[in-house]
Amino acid sequence: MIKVENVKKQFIKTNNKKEKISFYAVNGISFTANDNEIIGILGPNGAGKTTLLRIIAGIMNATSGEVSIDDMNYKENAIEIKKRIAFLSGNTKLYERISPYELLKMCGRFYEVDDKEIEKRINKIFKILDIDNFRNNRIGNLSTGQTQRVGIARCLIHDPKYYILDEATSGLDIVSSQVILNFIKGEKEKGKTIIYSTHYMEEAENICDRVILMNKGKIIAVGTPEDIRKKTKTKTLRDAFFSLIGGVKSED
Amino acid sequence: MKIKTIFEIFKKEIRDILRDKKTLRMMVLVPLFLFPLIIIFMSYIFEALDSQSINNFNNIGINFETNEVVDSIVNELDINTTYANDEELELMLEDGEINAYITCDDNKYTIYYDEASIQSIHAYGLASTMLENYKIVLQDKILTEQNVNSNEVINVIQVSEVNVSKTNSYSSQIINMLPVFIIMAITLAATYPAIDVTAGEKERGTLETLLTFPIKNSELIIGKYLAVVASAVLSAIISFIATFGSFLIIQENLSIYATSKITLSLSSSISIILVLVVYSLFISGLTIAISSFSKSFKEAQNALTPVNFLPIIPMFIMMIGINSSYLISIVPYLNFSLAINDILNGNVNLIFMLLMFLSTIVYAGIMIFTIVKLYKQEKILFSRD
Repeated sequence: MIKVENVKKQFIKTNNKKEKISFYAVNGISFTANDNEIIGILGPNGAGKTTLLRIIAGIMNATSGEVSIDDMNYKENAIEIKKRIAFLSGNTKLYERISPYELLKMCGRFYEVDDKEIEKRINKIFKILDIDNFRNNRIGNLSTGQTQRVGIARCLIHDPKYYILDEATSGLDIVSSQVILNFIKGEKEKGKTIIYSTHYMEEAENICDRVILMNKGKIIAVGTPEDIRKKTKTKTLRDAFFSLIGGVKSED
Repeated sequence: MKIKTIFEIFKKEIRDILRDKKTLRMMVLVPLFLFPLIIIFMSYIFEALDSQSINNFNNIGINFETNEVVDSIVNELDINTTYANDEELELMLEDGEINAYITCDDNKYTIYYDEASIQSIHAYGLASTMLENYKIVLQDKILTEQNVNSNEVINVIQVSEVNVSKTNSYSSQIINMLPVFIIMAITLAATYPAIDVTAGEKERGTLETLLTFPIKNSELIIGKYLAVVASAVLSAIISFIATFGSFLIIQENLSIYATSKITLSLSSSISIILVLVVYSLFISGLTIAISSFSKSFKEAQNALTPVNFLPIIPMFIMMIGINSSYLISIVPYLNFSLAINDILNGNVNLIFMLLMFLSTIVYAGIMIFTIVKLYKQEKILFSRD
């Protein structure tokens, strides 16, 4: 179980007049992701989704509040938590000068998976994701879709309990996006927990058990897609979102 | 801290470094060819300067009519004289038609020469000798007319010159440059991998991937640091073999090295390589620390440009004749250059070496500690965003 309690993240930026302005990218977020659940974090660019997921994945520290995973927190058990998590993001890139095989072997060793087990898992993962025919090519020479599959393979090598996926389908073509969505569904069937952020509302509507709508660092709605649609008396999550924020203003 | 994780990061970085052509060029080609070629080129230039013919600097202008005595001295010294007025002589010296000129006003002679030109400095020497000889002839004539033993007066004291220098000034300059070139090659070789594993990783977006793994910052930084050290050491060995190898060959063929040949025994070779390894520990920490602040490869390259010129500083300081001391043993760059020079001259001071080694370990430790701290700062890690 992933528990996020009143998490805040403050940043300082410099404006055009070179004045330093502090703002909260994430402002008092609390929720719980239960086991075997897909949670969608939805919101426009700048809503604070990436920052929130980076904090949950332990890449970034919260200014205040706490993230606990299986009752462990990052202050005391960062390494143990990271062993249970896989983080995949549109921002996280792969090493271009090594092959998918070398990458997975290295990742497996980082997660302290036994060498024999790594070989077994690599063979299995490569078969499932159809990576075998380019397993020894350099990642830099692969197509976007192939690279995305290698990215997924990287997440699978240590058989994590939790997946944190940040805009994983952003910028991908329809086929590559579907590979990710199929992967999410497949892992849910295996009993895994997935926290998944996207700004494609329709995509989330189809696969998430619950969604969290975020705007300007705050949660504006939480529940099943159906609940949110009912509450806002709208037909889609997109309409629900606009209804909740009171429409689109020019400043947005 | 897990050694296995550090080794895994080290292996990943080394594989990445060795597969990057730009980094490989800096690590291998520069030390293998650039600096040895500079040494060979400079040696031939200095050899040509050192052995230049008198015909290159014996053109001396005069503004006075010569007599038989002057003519005889001019012939004896193999001087080519050109007669012209002052203005013409000044222009001729500027144009390089003459190497120096002498003006005469009653009994006052003035030599004009260009100190920026080696030929003119040589010509000044010839002109001085010529006037000195002429003065002696005139003094001898006057004293003889007064029935004085001119030999006793003119040679009341006897002055003779003995050049005690064991080395040729040109060869000394090049020998002083050898450690500088090797240190420069190591600096360049460390720069690219250091940028690649820090700012390069940030720019490519792979740093975030690394941060998701269950590894400690200290393991991450030590793994990266050791990979940069390994690249620098590899380059140090290539540079040492190429630079000293080319020098040892060239010194056998040029006369400027006739009195200043260096010999490299196995023990002195090992000692020099050890100094270079110590320098590699230092420069790897420094380059990683500086490039960690940069957002991109280009920004890190700009930030590290001054570091590439630091090895030149000892060359200038050594020109003023500084020697090894315990204080200098803890001054980076100066200590490495002086240590190599001491080894080449056979004057190894073990305490100097030990202090150099210990101080470098302390500097490297401080730098690694600083980088580990830096990697906890989000503004450093996510400055790309």
